[in-house]
Amino acid sequence: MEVIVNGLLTGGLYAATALGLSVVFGTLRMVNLAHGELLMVGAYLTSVLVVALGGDPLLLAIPAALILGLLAYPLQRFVLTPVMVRNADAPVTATFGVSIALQSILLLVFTSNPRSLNAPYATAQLEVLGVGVRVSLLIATAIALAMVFGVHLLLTRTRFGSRVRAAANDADAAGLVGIDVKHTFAMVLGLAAAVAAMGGALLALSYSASPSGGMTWLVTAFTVVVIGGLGSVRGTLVGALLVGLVQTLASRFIGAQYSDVVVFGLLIAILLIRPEGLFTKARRA
Amino acid sequence: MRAKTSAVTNRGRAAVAGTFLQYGLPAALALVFVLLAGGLQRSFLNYGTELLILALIAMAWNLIGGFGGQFSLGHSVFVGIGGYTVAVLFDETGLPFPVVLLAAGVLSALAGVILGYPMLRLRGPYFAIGTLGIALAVTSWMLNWSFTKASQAYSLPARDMLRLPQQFQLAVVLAAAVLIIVTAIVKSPLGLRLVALRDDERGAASLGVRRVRTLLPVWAVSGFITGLTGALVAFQQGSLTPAFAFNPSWVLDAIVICVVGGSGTLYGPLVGAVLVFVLRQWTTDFSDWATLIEAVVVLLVVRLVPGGVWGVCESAVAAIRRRVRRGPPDRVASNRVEEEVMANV
Amino acid sequence: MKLPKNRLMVAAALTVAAGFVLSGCASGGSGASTSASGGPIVIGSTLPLTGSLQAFGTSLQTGYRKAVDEVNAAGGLDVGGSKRQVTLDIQDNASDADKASSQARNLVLSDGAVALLGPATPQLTIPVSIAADQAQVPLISTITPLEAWKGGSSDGWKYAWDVFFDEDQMTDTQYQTADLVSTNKKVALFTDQEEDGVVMGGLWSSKASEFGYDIAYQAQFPVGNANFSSQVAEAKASGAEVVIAQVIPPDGIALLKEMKAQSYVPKLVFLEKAGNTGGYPKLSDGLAEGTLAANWFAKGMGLPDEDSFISEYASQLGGVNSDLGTVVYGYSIAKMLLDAISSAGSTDPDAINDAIAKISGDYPLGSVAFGDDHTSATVAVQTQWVGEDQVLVLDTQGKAANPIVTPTAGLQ
Repeated sequence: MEVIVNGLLTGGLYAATALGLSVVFGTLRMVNLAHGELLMVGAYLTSVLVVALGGDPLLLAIPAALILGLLAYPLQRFVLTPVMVRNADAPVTATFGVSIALQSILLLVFTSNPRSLNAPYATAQLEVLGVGVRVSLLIATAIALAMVFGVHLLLTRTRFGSRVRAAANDADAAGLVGIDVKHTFAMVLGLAAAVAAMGGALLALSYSASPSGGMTWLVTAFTVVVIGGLGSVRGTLVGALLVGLVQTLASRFIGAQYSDVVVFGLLIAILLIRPEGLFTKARRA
Repeated sequence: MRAKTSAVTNRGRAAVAGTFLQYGLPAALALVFVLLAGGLQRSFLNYGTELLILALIAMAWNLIGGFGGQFSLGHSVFVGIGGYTVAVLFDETGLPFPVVLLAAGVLSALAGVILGYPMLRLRGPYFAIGTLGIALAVTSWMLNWSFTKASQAYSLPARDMLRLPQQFQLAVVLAAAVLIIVTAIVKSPLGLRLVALRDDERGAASLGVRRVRTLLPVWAVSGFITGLTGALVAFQQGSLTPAFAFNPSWVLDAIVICVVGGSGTLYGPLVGAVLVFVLRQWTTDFSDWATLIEAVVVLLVVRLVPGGVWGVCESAVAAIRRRVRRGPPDRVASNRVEEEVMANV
Repeated sequence: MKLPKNRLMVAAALTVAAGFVLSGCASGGSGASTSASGGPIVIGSTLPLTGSLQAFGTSLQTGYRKAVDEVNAAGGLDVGGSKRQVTLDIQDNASDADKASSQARNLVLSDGAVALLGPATPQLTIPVSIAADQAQVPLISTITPLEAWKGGSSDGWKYAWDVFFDEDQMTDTQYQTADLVSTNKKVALFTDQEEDGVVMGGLWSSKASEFGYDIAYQAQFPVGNANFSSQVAEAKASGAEVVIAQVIPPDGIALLKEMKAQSYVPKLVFLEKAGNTGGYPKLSDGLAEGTLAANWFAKGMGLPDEDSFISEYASQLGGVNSDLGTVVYGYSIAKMLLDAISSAGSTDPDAINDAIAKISGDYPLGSVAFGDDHTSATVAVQTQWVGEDQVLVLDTQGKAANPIVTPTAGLQ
């Protein structure tokens, strides 16, 4: 029982980390290989603010998120969107370039030592349903839920959201009806980066962050997004909970050394059986 | 009319000469280097082998990723399988060198077919993630498999290791062979179907091009070549660990090279390999900044030169030819069409 | 038309090929001749100056440079009667094994290095050792446990040498230290799947009964694992009062946070590998305070020149810690290599190799004498994190040194 609760809450944390990727993958159809580094940069930005200003890391994660979002806007607008237009696969290489660039910048500025965010609740525990759970995971899950529903509402209920969905569906047509596609796409990456920054801060709070740690989290995020389904933000939440649960169960009953094999096996299985993921309406290719 | 007829005949002769060169030139160059290997400077042999390994993986990836349009993020798995096949076979059996080399390629191709076959139905980012998932799953499995010493270093016995000149000769022969094979595939009916599939799947389907039936052999050949390269890596490095042999950096390097050089072209990977290799040697002195510089270069190329360096060369040559050949205005259009068709073969 | 394009292509290809062949045929590297005649002696080293192993690389660099600068300041190295300057040629391999191997070859073939000084950890040292053996150029390495290194060669090393502790002796130190404190003799083992994690995990398991301990719980996990919730829960449930872990620094922080969250405060926590990161208690916001780690250098060990190294480097390295130890070891093997070149009386790699085999004496890292397997073992001790320093708690004889603070302060 304890394993299940812990697994679900870990999944909540994974949802926070994967949301940014889901937004980008779902709307821009872009494989963002730099997502892991966005998480790490978010964590480091938050850490810098904490060191400079003092205070609660999660509160400071909000300005960090805004900063990262602002930095991501020109990246998408001037580098990635033009690349996207030419070729379906070039953005992957471009985001890979961004990933390497971010990693080397982090290494240059912060060296290779890990960084951790600290707060009294980072290592506290609470009794929930008779099971001991980490407060930091509870908080992460709560924030993830808020972000997921916030983004979902943003994408479905606001004018901005309809612009995004229109541009994602058919960029040319959207341009014809007067939507500034370049601006919209750039806003999407800005949003994704801001969400990733928060996710990264949550990671550094529960665990730690390091310049080269982005790749591992990128892979987890992809697993979550693919399982949950392309284009469905709520699917990402469910996918994350599932991945967290499966990983913790596998870790407990088979052994942590095989937990990766199990999770990737799940990813492959979903891709083979239902590639659209669990939450997208099935589409005939 | 007469001018056009003689042009066709000239074109025919030129096409034959072109084909002869495309196959003969690599073979001739390879022969030259193989014969000279003993007399060349050792540092040159060393650099040459490293450069050719990069070029080989890039050419292999380009076959399925560039010409085939299937963006694979999992090719590192073939490098690992090829390398470990060599290590295990040398350690456990007494099979002769050529057999071991071939086995590395064959096993990789086989693994590719078994593991990759279900993935070939997928497109675009799904295929990329799927292949990445396979590569990572295999890596995690290898870390636990005691038969291949799990995460411990698996070393080749010293007697089975190749000396530097032989490494270079092998690399040269492989590179020439691969270039010839890739050229042959691309020009064959299979190659045409492949490119048609990439460029317009629905249109190709209406002409009877079957997706998996076209992609599978190409995927297998790509895996075979990468497996052979993995074997070469094992010979050069002398010792393998899963973290090294299955590292995603192999496929990521291949992708960077293809993008810089020109994805979906015959010589793009070669040009890209040379450029990336030279760039890396040049930035060794600014170690801290080396990866950052490389990343910026990749971004610049992707953003500004989407066809890659070779793609730019090809367009430039085509543009020059158009200008040279420009005849009377009413023939400009048809000339251009004919030249575009001939230039893209 | 095809023809002009073909001609262009052929011309380009032939020019490029001719260029390659000509550059390849040029007579032997200038670097080599300089080393042979009377110019500076080139010693090469490929180090992880960036990347995850950065701390080891930079500390080794400091040590190597100190030895070379000392020799140059004294007028140069005495080789066969004449004094020659020594050039230290260092390249950054960014903690990547492929680069390390390639740079090792380049240092010998292009830069004319007559000998090499090694990187750290088996994953880098083994490929570099193979390259050295292939190039037939001597290489001395350190910060590489001996058994793992020996396992990297199937027929034994010919030109590569290693000076560091032996895993067998090192895995005794945890139990010897635990004997100094009263515990329920139950051990929880956490090891990652890297080479050293697997080797040490196996040794700790097999030695437990020998020392009278019981492995109450054992967990293995991939490198980069952050989710320790069920492992820590089970370890706590097993009642183990001694925790031995072999983890990389980020995973170490994740593990400590989980232990604190679950209020699991063992009497002794051995945090190997992660604990050898300079300033670890600060990086982990105090969680690592009081954790122990095997070390190769500590104040009070009784090594020659102990105090002078501490006073020279402790403040810039943030305290007396493993980074300082790495500087000492780097300096020592560089000094050994320079002494070998001097006693060989020439820069011929084989002569230097033979001279290394005959090295016997005391260096700042302890006494050195190579066996037939090309290793020379130094003694591992146990240290405990107290603030910025790693304080000696188990000395080279396996006896108590400074008192151990128990239970683990950072987790309370």
